[in-house]
Amino acid sequence: MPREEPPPERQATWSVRATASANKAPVEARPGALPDDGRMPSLSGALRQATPPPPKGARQWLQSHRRQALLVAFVLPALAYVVIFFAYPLIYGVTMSLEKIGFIAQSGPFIGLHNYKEEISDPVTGKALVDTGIFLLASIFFQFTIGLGIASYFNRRFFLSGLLRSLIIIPWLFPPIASGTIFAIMFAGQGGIIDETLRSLHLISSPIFWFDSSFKAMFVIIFVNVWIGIPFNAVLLYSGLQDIPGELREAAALDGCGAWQKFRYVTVPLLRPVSLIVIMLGIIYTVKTFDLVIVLTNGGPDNGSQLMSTWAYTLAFQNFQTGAGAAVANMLFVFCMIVAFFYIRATRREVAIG
Amino acid sequence: MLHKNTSAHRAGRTRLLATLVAAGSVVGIVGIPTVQASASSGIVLTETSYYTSVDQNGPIYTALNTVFSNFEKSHPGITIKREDIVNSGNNYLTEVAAEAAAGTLPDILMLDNPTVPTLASYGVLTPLGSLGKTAIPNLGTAQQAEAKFNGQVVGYPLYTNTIALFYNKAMLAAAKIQPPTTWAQLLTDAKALTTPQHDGIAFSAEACSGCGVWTFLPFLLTNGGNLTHLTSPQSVQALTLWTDLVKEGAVDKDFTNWNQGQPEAAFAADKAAMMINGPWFFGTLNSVKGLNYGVVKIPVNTPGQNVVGPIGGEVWTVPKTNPTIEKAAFELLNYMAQPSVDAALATAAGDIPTVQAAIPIWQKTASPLYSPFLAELQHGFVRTSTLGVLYPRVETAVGNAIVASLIGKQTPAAAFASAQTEVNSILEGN
Repeated sequence: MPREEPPPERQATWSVRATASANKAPVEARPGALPDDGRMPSLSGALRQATPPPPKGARQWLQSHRRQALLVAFVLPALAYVVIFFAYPLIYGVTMSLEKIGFIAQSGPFIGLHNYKEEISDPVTGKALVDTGIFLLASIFFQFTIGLGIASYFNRRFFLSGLLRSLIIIPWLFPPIASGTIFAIMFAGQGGIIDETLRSLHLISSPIFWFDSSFKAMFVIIFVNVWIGIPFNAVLLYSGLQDIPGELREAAALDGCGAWQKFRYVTVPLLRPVSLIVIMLGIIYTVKTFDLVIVLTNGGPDNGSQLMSTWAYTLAFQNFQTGAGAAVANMLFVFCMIVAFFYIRATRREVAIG
Repeated sequence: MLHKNTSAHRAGRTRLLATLVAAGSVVGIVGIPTVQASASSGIVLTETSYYTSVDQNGPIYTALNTVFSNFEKSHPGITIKREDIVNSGNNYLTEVAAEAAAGTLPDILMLDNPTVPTLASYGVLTPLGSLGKTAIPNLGTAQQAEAKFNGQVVGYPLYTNTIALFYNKAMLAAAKIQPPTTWAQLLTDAKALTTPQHDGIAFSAEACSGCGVWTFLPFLLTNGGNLTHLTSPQSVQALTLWTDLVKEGAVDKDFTNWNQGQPEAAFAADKAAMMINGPWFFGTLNSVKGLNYGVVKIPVNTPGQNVVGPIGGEVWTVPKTNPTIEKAAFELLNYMAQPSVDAALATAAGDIPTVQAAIPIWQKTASPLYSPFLAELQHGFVRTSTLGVLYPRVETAVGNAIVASLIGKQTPAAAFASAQTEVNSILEGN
């Protein structure tokens, strides 16, 4: 079917330029019309000419609320985006977790909190929760401390420090799935570079087999996650350190502070706001780590390195218990929300202070 | 079993290209339709399989192209459009589930056989009996059962495979060892074949779909064990054998992270004297210079036991669309089930045809290395036969128990006892 040509008036709402040429005569009669000096029209001007003159009351209302109406119009696309891509999947995820729903995620019978009850009583969920906690705390601790060490190191300028500082970011640029695959090969028992190196140094006599116990598997995923997270911490903490005026440390030195005291009483308090943000973003990144673990251990051995994220995936996409998987994913989501709440509060306070 | 297709696997498929060219010409000559195209014109059939993107240029992908274009020639008015699934090695089922939920499944859908009941239980697959006389009676007995869900034929398992014991001839000769036929021999041989340079045996034991449980099944089933009776002595004996192999240090303990690809890589690189794996790796292994290998049936606990091979392979189904499309898709499936076409497809897939009349045709070009697989499939086991839609969950539970025993976290008996509790609760519908 041929598309109908829109009437000129409607066309005008689509194109500011079209309005300028097609509706020239009436436009000139109205206030806020296109200036004849050849400048580009302002958007508000265009909006005004596009709308036919409303009756007096409404016109007055529109004039007095023009700003608000315009603001709403600007917010709408963002709002639509949030509703379609965040709110809807979120609500869908919640309804799924309340239904008996299997492989094909159409709707199933409503079963209330059954999925949650069952998953909470499942020992694997408990273990996944504990492991997620350990993974989180260990990752954040080492990422932050090592990151801070590197940031302090780069805080003094030295030969090639700029270049090295840029190179430090590289692990963060790799897709986790690529890093994970490479580390899986490196940690392999036979021919893996880590065991081979340890063996050639005579530190071990037989391969360690990094994936045959829960403890070792957890060590590996934490190790790799720390490796990935260090650049993020180092870069942000470095910029935080750069913001601390050198005079403060000088003053402290004059007052007789040693290196440790300068660090403890000048750097740490002034770095606190940045640290909070780094740690909280780190928590959010870490708690939803998924691809890395799937590639390295797939949650094994015997659920030995199963995190909440990988457990949700296993339930939904390996066991086809989609409702149960959604329930576990939602538990993880609630946790993230709590962290995000504190994050927002912390950053707000920061704005207030700043 | 084509889970987690590895690059090695893909390379294997390329190696089979030569065989395919021969097979393709057979299809060209013999490809006369048994079912005349209905008067309908302008039907477009969409097809989805995981070959499309994973093995873009592999033999099976090309073989299907040949089969489809021959079908189009003999059925004017029907065209076949192949729809790829991106990253099908990992995404295939997720994507199929999404398409099923959205009602946008293709007109012809290939599925890995353990997933057929799951999909059929949602009623999205056409019962093929409603479209006419099916080719199912032409298939092997096990495949006749495999094709059915709730008594109705929901797909054609057109080619199949299973797993057996591969051995490195040079390594066995150097150790003056004959390929093992019993568990006791397997244990002593694997131990004797373990050197600083290589392991005695390599196998997959990761608790993922088509990994550990699939590899373990021939040991379990041949000994009279069962996925639903894990506490029986026969079941525990099988797990004890595997655990002993590990305890003796004859297995690379990375197996907890291994699907089918890594044992093959180890075996191909002379890092394992034996491995448990399937015929789809023949292509890759044949291309390894200096590797001389043989294949025997999986060793048995007591001499005289018949080796039971778990049945692998893909099933071709017709998702519900509309009667005209379904009928055309059914015609295509029947075309594919002709002996000559089936033989060509099996050859290209590195598998064994399931249409009985296709086996002699296929055997003309097939390697003699296939015979242990053929023998095991005589007592083939359909994984979903008793468990149906519950198979994936049971597979996860048993897979974890196997790993728990192999890494020494639990004894074989304790590991299977706790898995039994879990399996019971799955069977009770929790």
